Amino acid sequence: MNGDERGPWYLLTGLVIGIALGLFYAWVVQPVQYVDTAPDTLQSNFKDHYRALIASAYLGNEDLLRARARLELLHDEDVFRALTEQAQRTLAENGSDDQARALGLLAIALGQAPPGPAIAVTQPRTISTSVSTRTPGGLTPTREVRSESSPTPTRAVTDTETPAMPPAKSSSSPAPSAEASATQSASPTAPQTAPPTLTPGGPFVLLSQEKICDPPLQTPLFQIEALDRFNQPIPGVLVIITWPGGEERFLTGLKPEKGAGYADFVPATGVLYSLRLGENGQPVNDLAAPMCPRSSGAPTWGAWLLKFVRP
Amino acid sequence: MARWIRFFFAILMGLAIGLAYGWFISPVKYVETSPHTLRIDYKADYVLMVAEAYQYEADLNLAAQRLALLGNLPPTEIVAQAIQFAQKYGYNDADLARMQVLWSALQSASNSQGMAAP
Repeated sequence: MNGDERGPWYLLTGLVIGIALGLFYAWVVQPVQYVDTAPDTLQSNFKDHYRALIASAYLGNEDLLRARARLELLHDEDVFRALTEQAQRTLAENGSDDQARALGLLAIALGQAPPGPAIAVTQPRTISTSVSTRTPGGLTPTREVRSESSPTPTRAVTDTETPAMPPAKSSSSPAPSAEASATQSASPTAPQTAPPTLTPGGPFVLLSQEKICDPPLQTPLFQIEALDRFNQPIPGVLVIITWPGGEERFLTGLKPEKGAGYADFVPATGVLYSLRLGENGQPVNDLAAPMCPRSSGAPTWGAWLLKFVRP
Repeated sequence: MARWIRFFFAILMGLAIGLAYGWFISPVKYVETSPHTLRIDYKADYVLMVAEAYQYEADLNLAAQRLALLGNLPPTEIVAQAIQFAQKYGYNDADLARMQVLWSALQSASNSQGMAAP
């Protein structure tokens, strides 16, 4: 059998060998190196770290537009939800209370503020941000949020010179930079929203405890309100609920539609809870799921409305 | 002989197709990156965030831990690079000042550690 009889199959064999070699080189030996990545490509735990840093930075600069622009870089499907879930997760995993508070305060600020000029509002939608992971109770925050477009820096910069020490402070006026949307201050007309701040004072004490039976509820509820001495709501207050074998921590203000100092908790039936605001707050013990009598039929669930004040 | 040449060219063509596919059409996707791979402008903004957080928290150790995610360089060097970038691209004075404060604090801590070392 000579070469002509074997036909052109050897060419196909060569082509396949070449493709295999090429793919091996391109995927294994010398793959594309991504050295100039964007925050949205970060590993999820680094995204959490980045998000937490945005929240901490927000407490330092009080620039909500900047925080919002930075959060957009992470391409979270729902920024508010990502913040609140991470805050709750941080508390649940015994992480830093300060970190959780920073995340919560930023979420609250985003919930209170109107959408910034950099954000194009498209359509409202409703989400549930239930994040409780430990039984028997759970958080049930729900709120209206708006989906937003994401402004992102686009210019790639490759300058990597390293000074021996930082040059003197520049006095030049700011110019649009590679990441103007993320780092430059907001435009003069843009609304600035200061972060909700914690009022200094002593530990929270119970101001009132009221059983709410009207309207009847499908599930029992603990409603908590944190107030300052002027009866103004305080967001970002740590609520600690404990029961035999469990604990839940969350922050006030994550349901902005119900008030900046509001939080709630769905208790399980037949369990006695202890609730306090802050580590040193006055505990309210032996809290059980409230039942409300009804003139006809079986009793229904109600809510405990617990108001705490920081004197 | 011509047969071997054609075979060799077929391999080359396949190699070219493989490389084009692997590098351009379907390159390896890095979706689980770490902060040290961030583009320099994002790194500069990261450093600015650390400086802003430091302004509020006044926790230098925490700031250094955060900066360590940007690579193996000393924290002062990372901040210095960010300051240089920020100056080049016209960050406002307040932001530059924040980064300078962080750099100074890190530098002071570094110097004091050096003095304390035997």
